[in-house]
Amino acid sequence: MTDLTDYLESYQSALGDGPHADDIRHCIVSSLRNPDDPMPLYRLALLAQMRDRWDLWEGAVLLASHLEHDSPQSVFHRACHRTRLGDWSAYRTLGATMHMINVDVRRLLWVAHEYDRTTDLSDKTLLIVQDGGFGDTLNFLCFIRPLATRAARVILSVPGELVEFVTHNFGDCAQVVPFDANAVYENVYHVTEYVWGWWSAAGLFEGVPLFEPLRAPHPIPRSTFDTRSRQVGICWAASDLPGNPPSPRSINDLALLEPLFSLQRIEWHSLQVGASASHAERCPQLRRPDPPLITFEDTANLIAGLDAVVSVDTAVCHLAGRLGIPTFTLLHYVADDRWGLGGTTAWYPTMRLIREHRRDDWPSAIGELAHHLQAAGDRSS
Amino acid sequence: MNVHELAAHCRTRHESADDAAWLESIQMLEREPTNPDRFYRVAERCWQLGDVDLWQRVAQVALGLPHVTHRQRFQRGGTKLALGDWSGWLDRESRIFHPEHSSCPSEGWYIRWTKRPWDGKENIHEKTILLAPDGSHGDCLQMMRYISVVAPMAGHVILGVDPELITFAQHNFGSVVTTVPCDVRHSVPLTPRGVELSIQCHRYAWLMSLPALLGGPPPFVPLCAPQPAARRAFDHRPQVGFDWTEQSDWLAPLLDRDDMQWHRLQLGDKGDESARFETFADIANYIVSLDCVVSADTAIAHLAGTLGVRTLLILPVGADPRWGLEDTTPWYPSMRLIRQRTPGNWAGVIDELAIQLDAKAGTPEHQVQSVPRQ
Repeated sequence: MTDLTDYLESYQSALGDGPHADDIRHCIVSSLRNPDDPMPLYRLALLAQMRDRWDLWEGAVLLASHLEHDSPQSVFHRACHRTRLGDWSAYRTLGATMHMINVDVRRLLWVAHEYDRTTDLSDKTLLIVQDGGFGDTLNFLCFIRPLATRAARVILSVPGELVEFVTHNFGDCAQVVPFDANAVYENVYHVTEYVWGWWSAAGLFEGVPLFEPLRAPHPIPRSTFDTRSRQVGICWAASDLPGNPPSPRSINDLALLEPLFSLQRIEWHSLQVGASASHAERCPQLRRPDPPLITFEDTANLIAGLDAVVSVDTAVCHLAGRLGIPTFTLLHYVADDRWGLGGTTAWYPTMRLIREHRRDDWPSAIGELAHHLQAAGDRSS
Repeated sequence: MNVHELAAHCRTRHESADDAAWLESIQMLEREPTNPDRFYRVAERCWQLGDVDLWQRVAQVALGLPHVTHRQRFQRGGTKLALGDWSGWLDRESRIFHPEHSSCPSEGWYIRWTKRPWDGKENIHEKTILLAPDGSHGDCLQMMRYISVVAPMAGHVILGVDPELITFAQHNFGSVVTTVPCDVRHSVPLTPRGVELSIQCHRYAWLMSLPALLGGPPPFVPLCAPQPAARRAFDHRPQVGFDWTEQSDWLAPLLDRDDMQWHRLQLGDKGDESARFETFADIANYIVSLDCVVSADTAIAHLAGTLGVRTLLILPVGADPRWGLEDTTPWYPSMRLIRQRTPGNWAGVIDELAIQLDAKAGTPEHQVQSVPRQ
């Protein structure tokens, strides 16, 4: 697909009548009126990604790549695409352009300096902020220890739900505080240097730092469970907190997981929290933790006693990966940029990525996963 | 004088102002004597109290310290402007990092995120530049002076202005710029979707950045009112317009004078019975037929100044630093600044104002001159 008009026509006929119809029409009109502007194309790519349409996503990105990128937003979108292709330096671009959009970063930028890895921090306090999702935060924890060695004192600001787990693991090298944009703005931490978000943090490194597994606070001993069968945790739906749109990340029909549950000598544990957790009631093969999982420490404690974890792209896969547990991550067709294009990932050495190879084709991905689990079982026996 | 002596001096100088915030700001200054923020806070307080000498002493110390954050640079900018140093406008560029600046995406104004700013040097002969408003109506009127500089440099200029200013801007600049309506107070383009898709431009510049990008003000050319009101509509007495938004009661002794006729200039319903002003174009039409305008630091003062009408600008203590410390301004040749010397003291302002008004009224004994500063 090389011709802009052809592409826009096919886009209109494929997605023009569904959700975001107005938005799509507006972008198509803008793109036709201003064919040198990559922004409407990137907007179309984003909408295609939300609908899991790789072909339309790729078409827009390819068309945009030939245009001049001179606004922060277009540079940002190009960098997103580059991280997917494995270009690590693009994280630096993402971090730099993010300053233009995030209001909270702008508040901090008004009173402090972004750490640029050349400043001598040996007598300074470094504020490391992660305000994103739980998965992003767990992903980003790999940068903390290498950064902490550079500064005299480190303040680590993470979402409140994760403070306890992070303190357990990093309490020795950083003061962990719940994320609070106002405290940041009023400069209550008395810092002059900061790092904001995992994009910026990644930009300070040349690649993923050496993997160091984290520890669960009170791991459930493996001996609690039956030792003759393998204990595998499973999480099938992304967070359903208000504000998270229904996402193609989740597997909404538990019947699709039947090939997994029918595998021999595997005991399945539900790691699902939120509204989707109740779906487990319909599944007799699925053990529901008792007491139920509430905090991240609960989940970490349970995961630490398991042999493997199966999860869709949500905080649980990051948690299992961070703990160094063998993890199978089920990725939907147009997955997040950070997972690249391969079957393994530099972020977590114990993780294998199982991808949907077509849109709405969870059965084949789950079949592949069942094959992997079966093979691993045969090896171990 | 070291920091502790300066702090002690501040304490004794304003013993009456012994509120907790003032004492705390002095304490913080002693605790962090290398942080310019601390000095600017004390200086700001002196400025508000009208103590220009102490303000200058504290500010001079702050100016000598290293400035690393945008907030510090912004405060340095204000100080430099008050001292008459034009480079203060460069420091004031830090304002775009202020969390409440209008480029903040929460306001729906994504220009900073979607377009590249013009640096004042890049060749834009074949490009379209958007001059985006980021300030009050008065700021916009003041910065419109730069349009005569930008227009010949750019292929095309789009000027974002508030609907209340748009007729006036179109009348004066319609031949060189395209005006688009924006809500100045929130800098939101009044179009269905964000600016990223609706305003097609290659570069943008904030109006308030133009002094930093282009240097000192270009030669003054008075702007025109679209349809000037006829002078004969008024009687033979001197006609004086006034705009006084707050505490107008102190002005009452002057308004009682019979030897001149007063006209209230205000947008909306509150205007004079004889004239209702819907937009700034209406006010401009009215102003050009007056002899003089008395105004606080509002858009009316800027409007009268840009029209070249004799303007008496009344500045309370703690005035905007752009007005400096003198009683004239390089921005408007027809403007005279009348300053309040101490908070709450309006008698001195009234006296000076009366002298200035009499001078204009044509009594030859009075030369146009200012009262010497104490």
